[in-house]
Amino acid sequence: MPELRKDPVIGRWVIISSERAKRPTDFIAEKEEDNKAGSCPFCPGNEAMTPPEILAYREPGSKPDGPGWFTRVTANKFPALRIEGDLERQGIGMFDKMNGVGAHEVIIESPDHNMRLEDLDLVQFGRVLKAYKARIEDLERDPRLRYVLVFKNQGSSAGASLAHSHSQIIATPIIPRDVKEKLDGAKSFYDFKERCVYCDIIRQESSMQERVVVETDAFLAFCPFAPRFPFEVWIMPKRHSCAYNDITAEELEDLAAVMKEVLQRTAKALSQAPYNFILHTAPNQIPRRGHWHTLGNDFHWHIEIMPRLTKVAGFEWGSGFYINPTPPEEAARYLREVKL
Amino acid sequence: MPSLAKTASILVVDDEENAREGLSKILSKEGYKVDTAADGKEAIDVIKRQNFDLVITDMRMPLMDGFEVLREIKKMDEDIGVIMITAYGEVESYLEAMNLGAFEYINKPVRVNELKRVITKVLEQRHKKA
Repeated sequence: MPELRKDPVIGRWVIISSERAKRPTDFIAEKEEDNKAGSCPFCPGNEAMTPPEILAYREPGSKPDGPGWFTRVTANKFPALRIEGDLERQGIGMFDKMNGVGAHEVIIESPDHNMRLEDLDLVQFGRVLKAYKARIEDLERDPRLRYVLVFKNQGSSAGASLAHSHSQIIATPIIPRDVKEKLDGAKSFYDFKERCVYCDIIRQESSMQERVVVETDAFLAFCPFAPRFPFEVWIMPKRHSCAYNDITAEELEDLAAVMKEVLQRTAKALSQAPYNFILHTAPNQIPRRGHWHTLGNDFHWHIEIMPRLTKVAGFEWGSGFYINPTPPEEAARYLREVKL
Repeated sequence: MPSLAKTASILVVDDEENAREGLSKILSKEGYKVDTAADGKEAIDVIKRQNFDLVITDMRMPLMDGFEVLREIKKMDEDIGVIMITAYGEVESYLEAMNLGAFEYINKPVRVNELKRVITKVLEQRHKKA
């Protein structure tokens, strides 16, 4: 009998097919096509093919927009939203609209065209995580921007248009609906129990261990109780904090190690299947100071990693239900058993 | 770069009259010698008769699209700088354009300052080669 499971934060139900559970080898990863390294705008020597760099960690003495960088951040050449202009909120009868103001940036994770994120050494991985923090802090100084979303599409079927490993940041002038759903869910839980729902999840998962993939002093990586996708993994800091940019240098190092290990385990178990990850952090609190007065207590930043093994189709679009053919307990076990 | 601007000749190719004439006016004010063509075929005919330092071409046009224009130009003279302009910017076509030898690929709506900066770069490079 399949199981219906409810996400404790947003109340989303998922269907877990527990009878004919799919193992890692049951998923066939689609072959990824690569653009040639020579024409890759993210490779060293091709810096002129991207907009000027916003941030780069470089070899001492190397010049901006030239080779010699370790991690490089530029504006997206094909931005979903543009930084210039005013929002100009308007009502058209009952409909609302505003100008597409925002920011869209690309974090080029390494100069090496063929290196996947999980294969970077820990220092380099740490630079990527540090770049996320620096960009969130900088973008939040702009009061037009209400939310800064960091995400990664790995593989063309996960939405990556270039093979050279990169993540993206989109800062939006509104809080995205899915983020608001999480914020509202966490707030409702806090109003009711005066505890952070995510701290409760961490305590429970850590004590049960059944769904845990990696655990350190500072972080817990686990397959959530009601995952939308097979082998979905969430990484949460054990120290309660609503905003990723509050992360300490030590935590950043630990996160690099945990995230690298989770991605390596996933890549090995699932034959380098495409994936997305999303960094869920607190919204920019500058524009609406006071509006999120319990945010520091009720929200808890975290990362969600979602391998792309199943297709979202009519039922999911129509119902908001997801059908997951691999119970998270089994997924966690497979991932733990991977030999690195 | 006033000395380059005085002598540089630019061909603007766009099937949309307003875009073509608007860009032509802006560049003429900058001191460039500007000609226009309303489609790719006309552009190639003009280039066969006249020398240009730079061609600024829209991507989507009837008869001959921007890629075909770019290919033909590069067959005739590899050194002519070509800037592609498109309202449908995406990574794949960007890479194709750059691989075919375009100097730059700019999204519509064109930001005049960005275009001026790119034109200066094209002309500087051409000047160095000459």
